[in-house]
Amino acid sequence: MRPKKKRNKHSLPDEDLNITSLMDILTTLLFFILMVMSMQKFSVLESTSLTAGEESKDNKPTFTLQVTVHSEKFANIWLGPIDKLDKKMVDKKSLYSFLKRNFEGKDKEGFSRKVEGKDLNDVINKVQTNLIAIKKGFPNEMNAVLSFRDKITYQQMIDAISGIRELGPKREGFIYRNLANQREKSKVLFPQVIIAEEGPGV
Amino acid sequence: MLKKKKRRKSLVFTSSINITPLMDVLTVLLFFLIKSMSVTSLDVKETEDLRLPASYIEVSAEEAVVVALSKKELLIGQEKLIPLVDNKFPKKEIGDDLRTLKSLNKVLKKKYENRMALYKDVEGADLSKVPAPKLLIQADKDLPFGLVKYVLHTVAGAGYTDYQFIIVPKN
Repeated sequence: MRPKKKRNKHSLPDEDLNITSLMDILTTLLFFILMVMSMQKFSVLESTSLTAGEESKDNKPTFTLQVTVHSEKFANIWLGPIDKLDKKMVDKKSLYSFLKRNFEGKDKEGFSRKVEGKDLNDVINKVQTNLIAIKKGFPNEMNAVLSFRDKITYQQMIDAISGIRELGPKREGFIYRNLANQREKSKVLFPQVIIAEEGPGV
Repeated sequence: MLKKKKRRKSLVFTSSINITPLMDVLTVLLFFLIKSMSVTSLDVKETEDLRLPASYIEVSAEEAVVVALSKKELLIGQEKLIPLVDNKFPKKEIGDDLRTLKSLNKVLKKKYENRMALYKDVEGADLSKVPAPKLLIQADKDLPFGLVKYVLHTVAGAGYTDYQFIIVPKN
């Protein structure tokens, strides 16, 4: 006769997992999320007013860059005097060479250049090409003033601000040397855009 | 002798609902929604008169005062402030400097003062170091800059020098 298997009287009883409460929580959470969520994604483009800053009390030379969008086919770039900005400059020779070839003006008075294109995207691309060279010369500078004529549309204004801030997804980043002489790759140009008015124009 | 009652063998069908696939679907859906959701009380609506411009810049919006300029009117939050007449602001709304919108300036200055009042009560508070309040600008993409600049000038004059333009992603 086989000995009877002893059943452990203290073994835990078999129980099914009760997931009713879990289902309640998940369903409630799901409906709550569906009610409050926003599927549409919005972004923001930050900018500052020209009136935000105060007039400088000292006479320290400052980096000044202004881009004026006159129409969807024409813009102007102006780089202020850079003769006293040696400490902020990297690869001075290349920058001066670029400015002499592509801009009008002198280092003590500032440089100016007219940019024309078939449409605003073309103009922005050409402006960016010039800004890349300026950014390589002044890698730590972040400010740029952007002004518009009255007839420019709001979408064009946004496109211009986006273009001044950074290169678009279709453009490759550029390589530059920072003030510590290290090579970096970036798409960021001048992210602190200051909006100014240019007036009604022609 | 009592007759034994015949017990009918009643057929009772016991079935349990298998909710495992339902649980799978709900869990996956929940995780997807948590990943893609954006819980914000920021109320940004696009209408026929207000189509937002597109850009490739991606920066999240923060809670701030919203000024909306559509083809028909200027709103602050949900409040209609200035109706446009022939796609221009009425002359009576434009201030003496020919740049400031009087109604908008009044409302924004009040909001700015209310915000600063929170800091004034703090002993030794240096109000000049309080960060500038942010303001969100929503405008129709087809509006000319000549119209938008009134809003920008008024907003800056009321103390909101850091503004953010609401945009939609560019496809």
